[in-house]
Amino acid sequence: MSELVLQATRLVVLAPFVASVLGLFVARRRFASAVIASTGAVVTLLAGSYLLYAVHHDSLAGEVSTIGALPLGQLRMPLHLLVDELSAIVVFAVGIVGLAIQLFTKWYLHGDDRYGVFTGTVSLFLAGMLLVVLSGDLVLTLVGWEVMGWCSYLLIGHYSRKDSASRAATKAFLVTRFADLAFVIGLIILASGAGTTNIRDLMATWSGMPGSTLLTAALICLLSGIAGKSAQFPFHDWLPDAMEGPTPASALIHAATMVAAGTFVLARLFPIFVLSDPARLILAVITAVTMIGAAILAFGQSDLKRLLAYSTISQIAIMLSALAVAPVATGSGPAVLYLLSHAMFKALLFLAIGWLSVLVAGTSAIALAGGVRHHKQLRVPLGVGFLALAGVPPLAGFVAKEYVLGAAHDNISELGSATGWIVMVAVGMSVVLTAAYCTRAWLILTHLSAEEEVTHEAAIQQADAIEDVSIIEIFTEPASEGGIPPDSAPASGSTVTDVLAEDVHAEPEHGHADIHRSARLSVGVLAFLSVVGGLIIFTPLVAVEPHITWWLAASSFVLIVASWAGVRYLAPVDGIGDAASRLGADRMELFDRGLGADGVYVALASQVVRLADIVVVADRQVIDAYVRGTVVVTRWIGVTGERVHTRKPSSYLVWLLVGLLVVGVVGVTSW
Amino acid sequence: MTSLDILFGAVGLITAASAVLAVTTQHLVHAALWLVVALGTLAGCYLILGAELVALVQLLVYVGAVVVLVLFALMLTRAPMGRSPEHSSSAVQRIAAAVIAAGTTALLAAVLLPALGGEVLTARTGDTTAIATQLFGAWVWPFELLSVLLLMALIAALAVSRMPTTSPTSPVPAETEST
Amino acid sequence: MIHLWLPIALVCVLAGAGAYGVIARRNAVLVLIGVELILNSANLLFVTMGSVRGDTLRTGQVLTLFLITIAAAEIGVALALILALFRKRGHIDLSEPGA
Repeated sequence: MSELVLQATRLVVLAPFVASVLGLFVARRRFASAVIASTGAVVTLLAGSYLLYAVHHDSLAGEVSTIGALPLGQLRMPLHLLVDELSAIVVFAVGIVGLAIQLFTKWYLHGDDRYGVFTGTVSLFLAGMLLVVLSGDLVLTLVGWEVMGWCSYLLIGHYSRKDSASRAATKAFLVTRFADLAFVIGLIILASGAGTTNIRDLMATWSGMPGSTLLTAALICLLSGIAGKSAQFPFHDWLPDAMEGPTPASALIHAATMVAAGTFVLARLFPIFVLSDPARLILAVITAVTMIGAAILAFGQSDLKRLLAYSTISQIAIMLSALAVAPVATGSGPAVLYLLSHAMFKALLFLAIGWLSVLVAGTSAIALAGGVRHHKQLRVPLGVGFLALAGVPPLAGFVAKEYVLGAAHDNISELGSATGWIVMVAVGMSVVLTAAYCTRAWLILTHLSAEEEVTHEAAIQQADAIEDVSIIEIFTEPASEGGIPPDSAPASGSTVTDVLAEDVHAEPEHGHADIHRSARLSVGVLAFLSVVGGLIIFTPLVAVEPHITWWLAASSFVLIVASWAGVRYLAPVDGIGDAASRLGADRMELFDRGLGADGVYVALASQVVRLADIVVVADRQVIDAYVRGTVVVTRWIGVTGERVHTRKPSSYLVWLLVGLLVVGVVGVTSW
Repeated sequence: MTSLDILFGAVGLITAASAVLAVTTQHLVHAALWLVVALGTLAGCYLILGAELVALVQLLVYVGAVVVLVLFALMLTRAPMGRSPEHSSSAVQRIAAAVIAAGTTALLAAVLLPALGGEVLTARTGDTTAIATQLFGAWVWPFELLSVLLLMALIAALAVSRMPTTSPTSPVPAETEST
Repeated sequence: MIHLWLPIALVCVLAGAGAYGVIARRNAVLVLIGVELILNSANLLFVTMGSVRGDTLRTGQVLTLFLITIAAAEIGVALALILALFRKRGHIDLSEPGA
């Protein structure tokens, strides 16, 4: 490997880390924080792009030393980074999303006095994720993993003055932490069994013993941690609550980092994961339950941001299910492809919803109803996002989902195991459900109240058919709709922004709230990538063969259309056009509470707390009692002694000599 | 009873009597002077026992130096002339002192007399050369150590006398009851 | 030729007198005199015992010399302490409660 690649690899991790540390020093100065954070993200993206180029063009792949091996006797711990095709493309995707979010945050948290702290934390979060992605060593993976866990706590709890935000942050932290217990145990088993923490060496060692019980145990332990980080059942409930954080934090956690980290670690360990059928079956069951359950819950949410959160859970489950079913020959390609496309369209959806929620001041379905009617510049980004999420061809979401289905199909045809059927059926159902909640959300966003309907009859025709949003519109609209005169926007630290700013036309008659050019750019780029992202299969960037199982694609498309038509039919014309209102208000509330998963957590946690209370009582009343007892006894002795004390030396001399005499008498008589 | 017995008995009697007087007299200065007598006659006892070097050193160090120091101390602490019964402690304490003194005497006598009381010793005279040989031969290291001890005592005495006389927190004024 | 009970009796009397002096006196200098008497009884015992046995190392007399030296050092420090005490308290009465 050339020196340049080595340095670029280290730079990818170091740049956001340095940016976060520097950002802390200037946290009180908005402009400096923004420049530092954006610079860090740009440097990361450039270095990541170079890595991607070097890996594919020069076929450079291998390990990069970091701080040198730790001398740990029999356990080898080289602490290497690992650059290969898998990590390079994910680094690139994380870089894009990270930069987009940094630019968007600058606008979103415009009036927030803790912007500097937030953006610094985002940088650190990115550093953690990139460390996980580039890690060639289980210890580095764990370090990045924990850094992300901690940063997610800080980001979700950003509005720490709100009780609900601090509760959500604590919940996210505790749930993932609890799940991480098993994750760490799994890592220890893997490392100690192979005598090394280097991932490639370790996989080579374990590959020699397929079907080993110990390997299965280690992988199941890992699955627990991954389920925690990726918000899979039964650890899923922290993610919807994490919506308490600012929208950029949600976008970051949901799109390319944190929840995707679980998928990535499993994809990295895929060569040994594929050896254990029990672990794969468990993963398939977990993901099947999660993807269907979360999709159903998403449909009933009264808050569109929480709808997106549940959709993330469901989508991550699809991603992981690809790993559960993919045969050895297929590899982790479908999962990574899904990870990439999901990163793009989910970041897009979150940023766009965040944008809209600022304009209408709220994220509930009622507040957002008819939002894109009044704020037309959001119509295309949101439309693209929901189409990609639903998996409508030819968007990125569609391509990725077809590959997951293809992997399940391969599994059934090659191995014929139950795992393949479980995933196939579950993904098939989730296609319907995903399309349903996407349609519902879109109908709410485009709904017109009764009087508006009269005046905008023509517009209704256009709004009815969501597929009307064609590729051409997508290319033209984000640049030409809404917005502000370029000169009223503050100068952005990014030179890339200025290039695109020339395309921005002002439409002041809409009277929309200001949005920063950089934020607009972020959304535009993400929308573009969501549309054309599927083309990645024709490049060598992802390890998949460019083929689509046509009957699967066709049938899923039919399912999507049927689901769309069904929801259209169900949606009432009155109110806010919410199809879920057919479920009844009581059930809506149940859905909002995530079917009471939080209550289960609280019930479980309260048992632990009760046990802790007992320990505390025992500690205070029993163990501390001895300690306090010595204090009491010592004080009593002291007080008594002080009373006996005459402070007269001559009387002490009497006692001294009496003592000597007694000792002498005793000594002589007993001799 | 030999002549040495009689001699030792006479000198020892003076020693014992002056020692008892030294601890019982009401005159402070007399106490110091009786101490001189007791220590001086003790030197005589050493002489009778055949330890002429020890006797000499006893005279030089004790009678010559220590007692002078004690007298100085009495003078410097403004010891009153004449009888001063307030320098003895209370009656109860004096009775306790008598009991303890009797106890100490009885204990020592009970141990030493049955064990050694019947023996007879022959005084060795002209033994100084042998003592000197042993002192600078077998005992030379303890001897050197003693010189260090003396140096330390000197420094300690200096340090103590140079201590600040009244600390700021001391509540006691320079009230003198003895004048 | 001396019967041994004579010096031993003197040792006992001196030690007893010293112990009495230590307790029955209030003046610190007088207490010191009692201490000196006890030390001298020990010295006498050393010398006596040194004469009894075949004492080739002359332990009795040598240790007596050492003890006299130590006593000199002790009395030097003790008197310095007494003087310091007098300067601080104005008296050296050991029956008075200390500050």
